[in-house]
Amino acid sequence: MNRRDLLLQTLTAAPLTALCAAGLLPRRLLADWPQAAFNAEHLDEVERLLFGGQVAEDSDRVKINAPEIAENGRVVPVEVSIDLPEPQTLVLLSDANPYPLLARARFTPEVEPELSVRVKLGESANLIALVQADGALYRASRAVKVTSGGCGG
Amino acid sequence: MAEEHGKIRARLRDGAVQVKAIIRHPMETGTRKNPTTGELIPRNYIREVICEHNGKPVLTLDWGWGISANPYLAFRIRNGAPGDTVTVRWQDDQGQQAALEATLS
Repeated sequence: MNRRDLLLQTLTAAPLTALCAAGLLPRRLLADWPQAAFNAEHLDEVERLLFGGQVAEDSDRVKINAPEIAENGRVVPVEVSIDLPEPQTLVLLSDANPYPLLARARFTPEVEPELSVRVKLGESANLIALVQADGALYRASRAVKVTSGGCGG
Repeated sequence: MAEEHGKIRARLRDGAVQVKAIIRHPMETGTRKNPTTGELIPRNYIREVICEHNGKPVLTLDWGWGISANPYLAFRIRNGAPGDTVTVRWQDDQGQQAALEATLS
């Protein structure tokens, strides 16, 4: 069995501490998940935690594709595409969720600056994308009407 | 690729690799109630996702419990070739880890 097969098998079975001790965990998986931002309950607090006081400019070079009306708020498909040179970070938020921060993506030059995910919207909301590129911050938003909410039972 | 952890597909198109994955994970918010017992189902969600091309991280994601259950993920690697591997690995808030891997044909 080669190291990769062993690694993949071990990853699915072993507890975290054993993997740490064995030196098998990529360091990235232990790093900087933004806890305070994910637990913040207000949009402006999330933005402040992630971007300091930096002001975002509205940009139509950040495109959010999402349904106008989502019948199932538990699974709302969102596609973000960015037409800016070498964006580093994309943050996706919902202004009506109890916890507005949905996801953060960090791009390398090896990938296209785009992302598709599915999110929960508790009620009709504005999806907001914030993109950091070359030290500047850009914003786009898209309204989604939700007919059946997604966060609770 | 292990069905138990989800599905992954990586396809070469015009030299780029379109990757689509569905990760098997409940992504519980902690506010849902068990329909029979009425008890709250504890929060349990994927926090970090690392996407790799031939073992090198090319996209990293931080997720919260606002991402849908059995999360779908699609992204595009700019340059790929047959034989390349694409891996999506993740860790949840309980420390559970798993990965999905595809090889380009």
